[in-house]
Amino acid sequence: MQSVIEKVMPWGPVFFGGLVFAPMWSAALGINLPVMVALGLAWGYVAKVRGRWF
Amino acid sequence: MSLPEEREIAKKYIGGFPWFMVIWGLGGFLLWLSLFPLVHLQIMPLWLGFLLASVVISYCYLPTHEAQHGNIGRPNKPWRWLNELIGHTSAFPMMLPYRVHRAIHLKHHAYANTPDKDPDLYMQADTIWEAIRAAWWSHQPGKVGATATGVLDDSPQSDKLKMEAFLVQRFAWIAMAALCWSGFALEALMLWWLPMWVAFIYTPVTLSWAPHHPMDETGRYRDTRAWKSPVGTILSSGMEYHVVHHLFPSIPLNKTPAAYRELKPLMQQEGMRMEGL
Repeated sequence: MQSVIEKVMPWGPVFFGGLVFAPMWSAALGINLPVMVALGLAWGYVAKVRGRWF
Repeated sequence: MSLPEEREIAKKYIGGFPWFMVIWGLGGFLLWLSLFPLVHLQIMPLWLGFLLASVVISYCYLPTHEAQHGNIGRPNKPWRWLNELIGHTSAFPMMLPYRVHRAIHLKHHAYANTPDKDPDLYMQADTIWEAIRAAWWSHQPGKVGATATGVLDDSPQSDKLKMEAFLVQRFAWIAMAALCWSGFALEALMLWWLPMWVAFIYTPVTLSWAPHHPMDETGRYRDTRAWKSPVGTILSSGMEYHVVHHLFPSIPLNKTPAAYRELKPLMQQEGMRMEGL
């Protein structure tokens, strides 16, 4: 289980970007949801690689 | 040594049922939950909901902090269930896993300001702006803030606690995602995610950095300071009197100012850091 957690944990930002940020910012900014999901996933992946959201 | 005299004074402030923290803990959590339907049904404007949520989540650490010290109900006592309920529920809006945070926080008490042992030393900073940056940085992907020093490694329950932390945080993330995908996305943003970030900054800066600044001395009378907050006692979450909490963690937060005034002469004799209070 520990090894599963260790594999899953680093992908948190991608999950967050696609499933949380995307609908949030889509609702707030009025941007098309599928476009925002793509942006959110990409943003989450970049955050995962860079180690920071901004 | 003034310890026996200090204990005699402290006894007066310890005990009794902590109504204040119970109402604050459960009431704050319920108020936060109620904001979602109130805003969604347009009974309350979004901006007001955001302000209230920011205040509630920023102050929700205090009841869970009391619970971490068992001040609502000691182990094996009748009110222990309430202690644990408030500990969990008031920590949830910040996505804090309560029992892990309790283990970390008790380490902070045992090793305040000790390098490599105090889990809160990640908040050491020369200025408040650097402290804000440290708080922000600790919540970036891959950063673990107070758990960075392997603080749980010597705990026999380490694996269990880490698993619990993983599950609690994922549950919170999934709850936030479920809100977002069920028509509450704007509410999730303005009543949870953004207010949570306000609390992510406010809580460690006010509760960790300010009362222990500059975090370079250790010892019962030197690791924490009594200080005059420029924003007052309420806006600084009562942390001007945090020194009393480190001497006697069983004294509830709302009683620390009175306890401080009575303990002050003894603490002065012992060389306590008193900065303007």
